[in-house]
Amino acid sequence: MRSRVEWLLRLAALGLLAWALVGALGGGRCGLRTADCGPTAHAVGPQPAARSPQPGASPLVATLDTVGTSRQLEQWTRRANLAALHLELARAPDALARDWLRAIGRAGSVVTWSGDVPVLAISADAVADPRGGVRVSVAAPSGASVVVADGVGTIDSLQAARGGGAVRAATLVGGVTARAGNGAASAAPAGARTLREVVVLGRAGWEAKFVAAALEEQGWRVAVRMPIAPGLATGARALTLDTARVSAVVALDSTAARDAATIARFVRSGGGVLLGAEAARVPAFASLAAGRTGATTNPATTYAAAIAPVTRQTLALAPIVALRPDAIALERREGAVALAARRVEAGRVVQLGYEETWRWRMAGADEAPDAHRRWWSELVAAVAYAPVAADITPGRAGADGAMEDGTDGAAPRAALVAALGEPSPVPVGAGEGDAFDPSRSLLVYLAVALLLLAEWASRRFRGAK
Amino acid sequence: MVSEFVFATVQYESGDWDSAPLVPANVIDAVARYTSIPVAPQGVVVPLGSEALLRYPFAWLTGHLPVRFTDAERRMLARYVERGGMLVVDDHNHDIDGEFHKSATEELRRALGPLVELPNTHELYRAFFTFDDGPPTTAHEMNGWGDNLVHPHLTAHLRNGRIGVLYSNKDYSSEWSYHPDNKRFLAVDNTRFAVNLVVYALTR
Repeated sequence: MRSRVEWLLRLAALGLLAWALVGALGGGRCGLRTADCGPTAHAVGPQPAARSPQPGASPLVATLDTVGTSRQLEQWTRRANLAALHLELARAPDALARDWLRAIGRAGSVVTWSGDVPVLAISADAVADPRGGVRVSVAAPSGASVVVADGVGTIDSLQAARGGGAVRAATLVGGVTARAGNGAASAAPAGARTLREVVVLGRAGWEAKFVAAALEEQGWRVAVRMPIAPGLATGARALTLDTARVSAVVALDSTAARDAATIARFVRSGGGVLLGAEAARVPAFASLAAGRTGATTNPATTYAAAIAPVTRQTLALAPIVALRPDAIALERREGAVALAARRVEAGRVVQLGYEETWRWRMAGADEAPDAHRRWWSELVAAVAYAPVAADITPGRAGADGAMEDGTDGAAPRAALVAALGEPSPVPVGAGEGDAFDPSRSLLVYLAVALLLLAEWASRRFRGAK
Repeated sequence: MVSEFVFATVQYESGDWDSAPLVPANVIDAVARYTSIPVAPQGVVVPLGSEALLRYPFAWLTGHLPVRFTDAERRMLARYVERGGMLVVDDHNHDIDGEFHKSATEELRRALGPLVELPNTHELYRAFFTFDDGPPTTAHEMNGWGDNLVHPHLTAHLRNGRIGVLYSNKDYSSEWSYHPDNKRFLAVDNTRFAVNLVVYALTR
């Protein structure tokens, strides 16, 4: 009986040693066959996703903790035989964790992920407006509620429509963050824009006067040239246009035709132009125009309309017809295109269908003067050559526009996909948690030692050698 | 669509707003004669208290008699200037002790604030013709009527650096109130300053 127990102890010790030996040779949850770990190795992207796991490695399915992420990453990094790591994520890892995981992948392990990481991205750009301001654009699933905040607090919230939305802020303190559900994206605004002069060309009349006034009142530096008599014009006699001095040209009517070639050259080199309805009729501007100018319609022909406050909707309109294929309609009125835009090489063109917009400012409702000013300023801003000058916030943007402060980045899910590939299912046959490696476990060798000690003691106590 | 400059004469409820009926035709003639600015051949008369005033960003107001604006006229004047309109007010009495001057300047002060002296180097005097000495003297300033003074300056209410209201004691209403055909008898056209007023209003 006692010798049978001793045999059992010997067999148990040998069994444990054999288990440790198998583990050391690459066994485990994947077994020795590399193909068992294969399903995790289908990530796409710049990381070496197609690389097969090392023979003898163990697959691991884990959840990335929000607290103690570094400790988890360190453990995984130290595992010599980590062939495949699959993460189940509820949110995107921060930039540090993401880069660390990519490094683990490049070190030979196949790193994949799955989970419901929110689709969210943010960008913040200084507006080309003398009064400053930042436009925060958010990409989010349609219908999602997004809260936009900066270092001080909430700026605004929006309901994403058609894939996102935008809010405008006067200033930002630090970076700006968008939160939707359990996701967050953050970015630092790009630097302020350098704005140069705006040149207004038009007949001496109320339209040119009030366009120039509106832009000046919004803070633009404006140079005006209006012919007032044969051979006599206000402002500079010769028009010199280059993007080093001029951001945009407003060509209101046919008086700008004599400079059409200069304006076209300016636009092609990156400048912007607003073409008034009458200017767009001039053949010399045909190469720039977004479309042809149709016949003018004036809704204010009835007595009731004539005495009512003027709005943009009641201004005379020369609709833009026969839009070029590369032009887009920015605004329509009763189906007719009232504003259209297109790119011409490096520059931008916006063509207007509205005529005599000064009537809106003078004879509109109480808010009309301010609305007129902002509308013209926004049109100029849309075409103006306005290079980014310098950072305007203490936060510094990284290469992907993310704040370098450990936040999620400007487009966390996109960055995650770029680093680890598209999400993939949990590997078949993989277990959860850290796999037990008998070859590296002290407990196994301690147990072997105890078994052998018990077997030896038993033999000595019964007098055997 | 080319819009024309329309000369608007302001009608107010007190006083004699129509005391210089030939001024509009003469100013229109001068603008058409010297400039390429499209100008309507006839002016309009616009009530000061009416929304219609806002359709004419240049307006002319004159008279001899005491002026008392109604609340509606006062409000509309403030709104007109705030939006960028320019009103030229001329004292047809050319008399700084006259009833029109005292009452009109008081009304303008109530509606807009005090008028300030316009320096004779102001761009108004170079907007088309050049007047080195400021506002041109009229033949009526020392005709034995009024205060018998040559008024060296015009006064103005400025908004955003532009003239919102221009006030004159020069009596251009008398100076320019004649049939345009009679300009041929003048050695120097005395309506040239009217061209400066219109060009300034249209370009600044």
